[in-house]
Order: sequence, then C-alpha cells, then structure tokens
Amino acid sequence: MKIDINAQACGNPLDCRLCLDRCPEKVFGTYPRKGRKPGVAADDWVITPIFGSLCTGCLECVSFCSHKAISIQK
Amino acid sequence: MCEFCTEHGEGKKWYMVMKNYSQELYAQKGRAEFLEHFMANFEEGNAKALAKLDAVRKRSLVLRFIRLMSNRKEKATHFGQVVPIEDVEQIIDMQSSIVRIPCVCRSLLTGRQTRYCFGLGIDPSGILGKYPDYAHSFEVLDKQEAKKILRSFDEKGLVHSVWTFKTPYIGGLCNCDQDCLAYRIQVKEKLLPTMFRAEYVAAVDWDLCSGCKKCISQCQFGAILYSNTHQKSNINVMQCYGCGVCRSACATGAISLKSRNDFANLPW
Ligand code: SF4
Ligand code: SF4
Repeated sequence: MKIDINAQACGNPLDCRLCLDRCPEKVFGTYPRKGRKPGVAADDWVITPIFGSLCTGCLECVSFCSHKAISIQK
Repeated sequence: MCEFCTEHGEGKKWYMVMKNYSQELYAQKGRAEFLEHFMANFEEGNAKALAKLDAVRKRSLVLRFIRLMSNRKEKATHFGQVVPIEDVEQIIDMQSSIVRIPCVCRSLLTGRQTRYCFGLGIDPSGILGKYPDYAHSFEVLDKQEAKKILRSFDEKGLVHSVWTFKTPYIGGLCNCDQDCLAYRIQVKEKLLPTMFRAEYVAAVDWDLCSGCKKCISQCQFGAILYSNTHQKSNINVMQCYGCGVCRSACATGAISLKSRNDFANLPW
C-alpha cells in the first residue's frame, strides 16, 4: 500500500484529525514540520504514515478527508 | 526482579531508591540536554524513526538486528517500567517536586495536547520553559493533588509507568492507554522492547469473583479471560503486565497483585 499525503491540501491537521482518529489500524501520526524551537510555538503540523505496513486499504481515511489530501494505491 | 532492580536497586525495587531521583544524578551525563532534546524532537524524531522500522517489519533478520541494537541503547537512555498505584503513591512521597507536563505520545499519535504525564524531581520550566508549546501547560502539584489525579487515572484504567532519562535517573511518570507510543511499539506492534512489566502479576480469587466481567474491559493488555463454564474471570499471566488497574473495576475486591518473582517463566 502506498500512502501519500498532500500537506498543502490537508492544511492544519490539528483542526481536523479525522484520519488520526478514524483509521482502524491507527496508521498515522502528526508532528510539527519545522520542529520545536525555543521561543517559537510549533505550528505547521503534518500528517504522516508511521505504521504504513498495517494499512489494509479500507480507504476510511480517504473517505473521511474532506480536503482530499490522502491517496492510497494498492 | 527486573534487570534494573538488579543493577540499580540496592536490594530494593529500583524505582524505590531515592538516589535514582536525585538532583546529583540529574546533574551528570548531560541529562538536562538529553531531556530537552527528547521533548523538543519527540514527535518528528519518533515519526521518522518508526516509519523506517515499520518498513523493515517483515524482514525478520533485519528487525532482529535492530531490536538488539536499540534494546541496548534504549535501556541505557530511556526505558520504562509499569508500576501499580500503591508503589506510585510511595514514589510520589519521595519527590521534592512534581510537575504535570504534556503527553508527547498522545500529541504524536492523536494530535491532541493532553496532560497525562508528570515530571519528577526536576523543574521542567528551567529547561523546557523556553518552548511555548510546553511552558503554558506546566502545573506544579503538591503530593496530595498528584495522588488524587493518579487515583482518578487508575480508576479510568490508565496504566502507570516510570521512565528514565539516561538510566538509572527517573524523571517521568506516565499514565498510558493504547495511545502511548511505548504501548504501540512493544505491546501492539511487537517491534521493540520499551518497558518492563511491573514487579507484580494479577490473580482472581474465585470465592469473591461474581463473574460481572467489568475487569475485562479495564485491562489494556487483553490479559483477562472469562470462563463460561465457571462464570468467573481468569488472568492470563503471560499477558498480564501487573499494572493492577483491573482492581479498581472490581466491586467485590476479587483481584489482587502477587509478586512476579514468585512465578517461574513469566516474561518481564
Ligand atoms: S470485576 Fe471482579 S467480580 Fe467482576 S468478573 Fe472481574 S474479578 Fe470477577
Ligand atoms: S490483568 Fe494484569 S495487565 Fe490486565 S489490568 Fe490487571 S494487572 Fe493490569
């Protein structure tokens, strides 16, 4: 399974989190793309597949993502 | 006794030894810098490292090699042990400072900023206060407040564990469910060892068990089985982590913890 996230289309995942919450296998995680630096609040969070090998191809995430930011190819 | 008790326990459980929480120990081996790096890079570092590990999950030889190397590293730097609530309360009594801090595991895996974790001994605002994401969420607790919160976590079925920052220094106390990264890596995905089971294991007294099954949903480890024949619950000791949270779900007080040492062949 090849999981691609279009970060631009996704926007701020922390406002949504549907893929994080709804994936039955809990494949995804999120982190601040530019890291955490002293004095700066971490923004710019991205979604990333962490346990990609668990993906069953059920396409729940694709169907929940109203931003059409996730594509999954078998 | 777990490996750490033998190495760092001075004849006691290693997390009952005052020295392992001491400022003196904290001041050595660049622990403050380690803790800062750990907290500042937690989500990104782990997301990337685990994605790589996940990619070789099916290549058993590669995984075995990585497991061996990482086990050594993790045990020296950041390793945990499950601790039941009574021992947690004793640990709280040993502390000079207790600060509620954000849970970085849940941040990574759920995108939520929650405060299920406690910093022990250290003043995290000294080194972590410069990170705005963390600074606003620190809360200094007194022992009574901390114990009250920990009891309420226990009733919710959250498993307590202590964590080292360059072993044997213990700097963190976590309260985990299945959104904890250590749980994911060790228990669910069986990728790498991250923590020891508790020094205990649960047992059900059938004279007291009413067969209500409430303990079964309290257990994060799927360690409780129900016997239809007897209409009683049973602990699968090979699965049990000895966290003891099942006890708070049992109205009849049928579950108690026994010493893991008293059993042969149990995993740690
Ligand atoms: S909660 Fe207590 S009484 Fe109910 S099934 Fe479990 S051990 Fe038995
Ligand atoms: S059965 Fe064991 S692992 Fe499960 S809740 Fe009870 S003590 Fe914890």
